[in-house]
Amino acid sequence: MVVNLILLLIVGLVLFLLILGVMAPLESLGWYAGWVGEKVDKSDTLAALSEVEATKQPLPDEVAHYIVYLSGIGSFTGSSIPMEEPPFLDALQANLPGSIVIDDVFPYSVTNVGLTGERLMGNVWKQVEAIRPVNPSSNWLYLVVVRNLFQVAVSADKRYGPVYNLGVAKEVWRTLLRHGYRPGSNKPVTLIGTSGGGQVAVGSATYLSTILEGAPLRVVSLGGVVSSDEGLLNVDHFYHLYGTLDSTQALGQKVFPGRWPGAVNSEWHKAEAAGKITMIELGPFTHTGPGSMFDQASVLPDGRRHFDVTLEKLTNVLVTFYDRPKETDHHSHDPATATELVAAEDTAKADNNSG
Amino acid sequence: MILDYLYYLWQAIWNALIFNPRVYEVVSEYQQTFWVTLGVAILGGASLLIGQSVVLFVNQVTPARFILSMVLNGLQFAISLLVWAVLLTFLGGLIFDIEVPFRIAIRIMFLTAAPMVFGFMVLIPYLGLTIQKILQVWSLLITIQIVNFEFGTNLFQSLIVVGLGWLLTVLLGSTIGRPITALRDYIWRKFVGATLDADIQEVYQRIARQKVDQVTQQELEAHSGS
Repeated sequence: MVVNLILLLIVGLVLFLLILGVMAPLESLGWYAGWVGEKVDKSDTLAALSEVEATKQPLPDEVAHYIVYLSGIGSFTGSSIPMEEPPFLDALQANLPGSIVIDDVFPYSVTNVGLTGERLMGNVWKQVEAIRPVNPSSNWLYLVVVRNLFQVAVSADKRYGPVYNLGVAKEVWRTLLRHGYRPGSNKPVTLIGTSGGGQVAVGSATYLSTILEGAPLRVVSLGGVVSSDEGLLNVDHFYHLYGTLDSTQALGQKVFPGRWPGAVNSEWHKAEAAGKITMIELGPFTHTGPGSMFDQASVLPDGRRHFDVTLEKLTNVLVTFYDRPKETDHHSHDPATATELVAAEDTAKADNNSG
Repeated sequence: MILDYLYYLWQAIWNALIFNPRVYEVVSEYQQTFWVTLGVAILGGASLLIGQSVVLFVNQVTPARFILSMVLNGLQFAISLLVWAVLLTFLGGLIFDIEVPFRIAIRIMFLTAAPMVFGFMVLIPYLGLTIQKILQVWSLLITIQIVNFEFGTNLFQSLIVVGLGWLLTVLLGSTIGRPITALRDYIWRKFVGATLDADIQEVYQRIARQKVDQVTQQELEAHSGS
């Protein structure tokens, strides 16, 4: 009796995963084919814009550097992200007064419609989302993780990746425009992706590099699970910040054959050979929860919080930008020069603020 | 009547999948054996097309044409199995002097398509292409096993017949099969609006530009209007 029940559960679970897997690419393919219309969820972006005005943050014209944050697979919408992330983004924004940190892109939908938006299962996701503040470690939250995990696989799949990543790139572009980015301004853009967001960031970079028409573009992965994606060759630089106890980010080099040592002709190894990849060790951090890179309660032996270490190292990456020799002509449109200027501006503003 | 058909269709698929060497005998109990085996082939072909449907989506086919393309692919799959059957009958007679009625060879070949009913699983991201290879090997093993049993050959002879048959289909496909491929592409273009060999990269680039330009125009117009 018990054996049968366990067997039934296993069969049910396999079938559930099978259905999720088969359905996973359909949203992006349907959107691409024009079967599913553009249902752009404007609420998040509009709320963010009104907040920008209310807090008297720099007007878009004064923003020298655009940072788009793509959350991990635990997110329901662009703004409904795991609870440890918003304080980190606030702190990051405070560190970078000349930059704007945008966090209203949902990287697991080609139309930026969050799971709790206008969807067939929207009400179900709303109920699951309501559990998170009450019990952040509830098993029900794994549903969203599995759902979004399949979207990461869609992004990494050579068949669907071009469609999916185009959809996300388009939404990142839409959000950049809404936050004041103007085509041809040559202002640098940085995508920060956490966990599965790392893969989506790299994937969408292929299209964004074309859309930005030569403006500097880089990707920062925070414990990201990243495949050997063409996007690595299209960014100016890719930074991977990781915790040594984070086995999830380490999956990237195990499950994606293009990252195996023997795959010398893969995009990953080509980008590495071109000096486009920098790996930065954060410390003995885990992927999520207590001991993670965003954890404010965990401290290193030297007394620093995990949160602060991650913030400091990420800020350093964002203000120092490339490991390239400095150009003498500051009016050049060379990406390295442009971004160094931004970095210098950011550092100066941060110094003024702290002074 | 229809329930009987579905029952034997299920029996045909299940027995082929579990390598039952007597699968043909099981199916033969039904009077309309040919239609049952053809059903397996069409189901397999249609399911496989769902799995490989990315090319249809990329070419922006409509839902109605998508369904039509599934039927067409099922038929195309059945025709390719028919060619296999001709080659196997020919090779069996030529090399090992084995005589298998052509009508039985066709039905046997249709049955080997049974694993392809799982072809829709090729859609699964990242694992899909591995699943496709597993289904192809599964189908090949069923072919070898059924040939082994129905043709009365030993394993070595079965491997020779099936291997040479596969080689011939490849050779024919790239030589005298070209006009047939052209005809197939014409039919696909006529009814579906796309070919399965379309240059995906070219289509991606064209449509990507359109979609991005659309967003830029929308947002800049909205911004200037506000």
